[in-house]
Amino acid sequence: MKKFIITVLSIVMIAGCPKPPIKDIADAKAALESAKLAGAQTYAPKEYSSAEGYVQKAQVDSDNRQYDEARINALTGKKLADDAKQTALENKGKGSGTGEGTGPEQMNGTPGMSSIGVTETSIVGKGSLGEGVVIKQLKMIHFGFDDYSLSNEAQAALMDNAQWLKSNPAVKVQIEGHCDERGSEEYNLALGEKRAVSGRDYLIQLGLQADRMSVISYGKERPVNPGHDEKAWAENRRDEFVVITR
Amino acid sequence: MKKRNRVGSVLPAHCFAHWYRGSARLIVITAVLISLAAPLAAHAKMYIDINAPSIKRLPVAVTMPLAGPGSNLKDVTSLYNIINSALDASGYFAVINPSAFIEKNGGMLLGQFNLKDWTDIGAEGLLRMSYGVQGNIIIIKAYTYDVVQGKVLLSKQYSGSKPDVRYIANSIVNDVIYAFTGHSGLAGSKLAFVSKRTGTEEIDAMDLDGSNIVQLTYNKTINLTPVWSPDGTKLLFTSYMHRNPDLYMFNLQNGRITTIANKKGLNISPSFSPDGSEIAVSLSFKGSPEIYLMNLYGKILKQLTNTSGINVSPSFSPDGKKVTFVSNRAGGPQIYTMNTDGSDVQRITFKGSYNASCNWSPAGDRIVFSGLSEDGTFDIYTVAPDGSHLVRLTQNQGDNTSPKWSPDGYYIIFVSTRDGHQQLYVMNSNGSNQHRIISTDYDMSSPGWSNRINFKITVQ
Repeated sequence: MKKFIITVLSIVMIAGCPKPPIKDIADAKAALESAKLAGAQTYAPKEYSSAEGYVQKAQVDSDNRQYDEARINALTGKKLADDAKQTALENKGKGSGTGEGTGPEQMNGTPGMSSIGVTETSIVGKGSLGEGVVIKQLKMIHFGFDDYSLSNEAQAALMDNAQWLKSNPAVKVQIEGHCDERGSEEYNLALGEKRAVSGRDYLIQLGLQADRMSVISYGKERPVNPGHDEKAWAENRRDEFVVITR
Repeated sequence: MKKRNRVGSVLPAHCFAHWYRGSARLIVITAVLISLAAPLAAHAKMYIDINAPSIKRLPVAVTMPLAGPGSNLKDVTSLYNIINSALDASGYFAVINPSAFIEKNGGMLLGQFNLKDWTDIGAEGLLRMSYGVQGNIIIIKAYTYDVVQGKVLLSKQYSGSKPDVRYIANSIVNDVIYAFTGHSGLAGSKLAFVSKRTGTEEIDAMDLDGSNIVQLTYNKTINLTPVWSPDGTKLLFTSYMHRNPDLYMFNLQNGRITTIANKKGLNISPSFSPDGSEIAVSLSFKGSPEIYLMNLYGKILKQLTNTSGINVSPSFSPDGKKVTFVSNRAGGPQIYTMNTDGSDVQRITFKGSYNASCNWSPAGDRIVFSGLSEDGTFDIYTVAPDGSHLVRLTQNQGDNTSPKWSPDGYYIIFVSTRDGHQQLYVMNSNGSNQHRIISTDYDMSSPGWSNRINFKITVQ
């Protein structure tokens, strides 16, 4: 029975201890993400990195239970992220980016990538859980609703991907299968895996070694387009090819 | 913590059963009927028919508990707030805002207060309470009145320790629901769900009224589909915490998370057998997502499906002899049943091109699922296990997905986008009385409803 001696969060909260500013931090992260989508890393890099610093600090403070500091930093981070987004949109409108050199490519650069044939300027994103990199040379492919067969367009893109992979034999990829938001979580996890497997099997048919590729499904959990219309759904039904960096 | 037993059980079982379930070792709340005229006469009149196609919320007023000796108002403020919130969350009552009250003062009993003070503000039901404190024990007397007829429906005294005031409140609410509907309420039962509150998908639990939110996972990746064990002490869920969709079990008594299955590929869509000893799950380590039976240590006991397509979402019949599941063997996803050895596969849905998320009712007579309707939205349907008597429960209300039965089978909890983004809703099993559980600015999805009431969750 002693096992049941308990820590009860709710009771602690009722007793008046300060709460972590979960919502403020989430809001700040969302603002940061929004700034990033607006191109702030390229068009307002100083403002963006300053905002990012505050948001990171807020998370660290919260993890260390310094909730008051965390809240202040989160609010500051959110404000700066909003400003960075605004500045980025204005600069983008004027066409006055601060140049390729300070763009997202360099900031996302991963050491050691050049040794496997991936140049830093080709990096356009990261894997869905932050691992690996997405590069320009490996094209996304798309699918129909509740479908994991490959369209002619998808097959053509896979041929291009196969060619690039053949000329860069040190590269290993993880194929991520994704779905649109419609339907059940479970069925979409399975559907996403079927999509990833379709992509992998076609690359094998095109002569690539199976052990250079792994598959993972993210179901409907990681859309590229957060919208709720046919355009967003079509973009989200996809395979992404993520270069594994370690 | 020493073992305690409930006391004072001299009354019919139904007076206690609905709030003692599963709670005896952790929380002790005693309740006795106060001897007054015909306390059980509530059955004589049905105030709210919970199975009516639509339910008009009954206007009720709840008075701030009157102070007795040794008491301090702050002891009951949270109790008062929880009672108001849980009565509202039940969907049966329109709780009148206290600022509308016109009563100046009054006692607890009929004749000691003016019924007209309540009928004048539109109340039909009234909950009056008084309280006293002895050391760490708080004692609440609660009287439920029909103020239109001037009748007492239920009078009961509750006691418990001060930190357990939430559970006293839930017990009172369940009794008030019983007094007006003849059916025990489920206030204080737990929901587990996927929450985007922190920005990533974590698993949270909360009380049925949306209060008392506890975060269970903290891995900042993707956590999905929490499923309660039949005894309510464990949750199965899928998590990407190790960068693959693997199956884990969360022990709510000690806060520990253990790995159940981390095979290559999918380890998803778990379901407990009715006796809690086995798990049905979808695994793709052989290539395609197939349904397997495993024990609680992750050992595979049997492969139940063997197609090259998709097989997910197993859910046991209450007698443990059958499993309903989703398969795309006929093209798109449809609902099937089979024996728990994989034999006698029967397709039970034929209408629509996409039917998924099946869940077998506790009574065994219905299966609930979410299907793509002709108008292009997802709706909740129920069907008999032989595929007959299909009933549509939602219509023109956004997308409606992830339905699960309440432990007593009277309600269905589900996810709907009718108010703009994914939120949790509950309705009666016939589709009536649909209402949102809690309004949040973040997405909530994949709910599961525990059959345990009034218990505490331990988080490590």
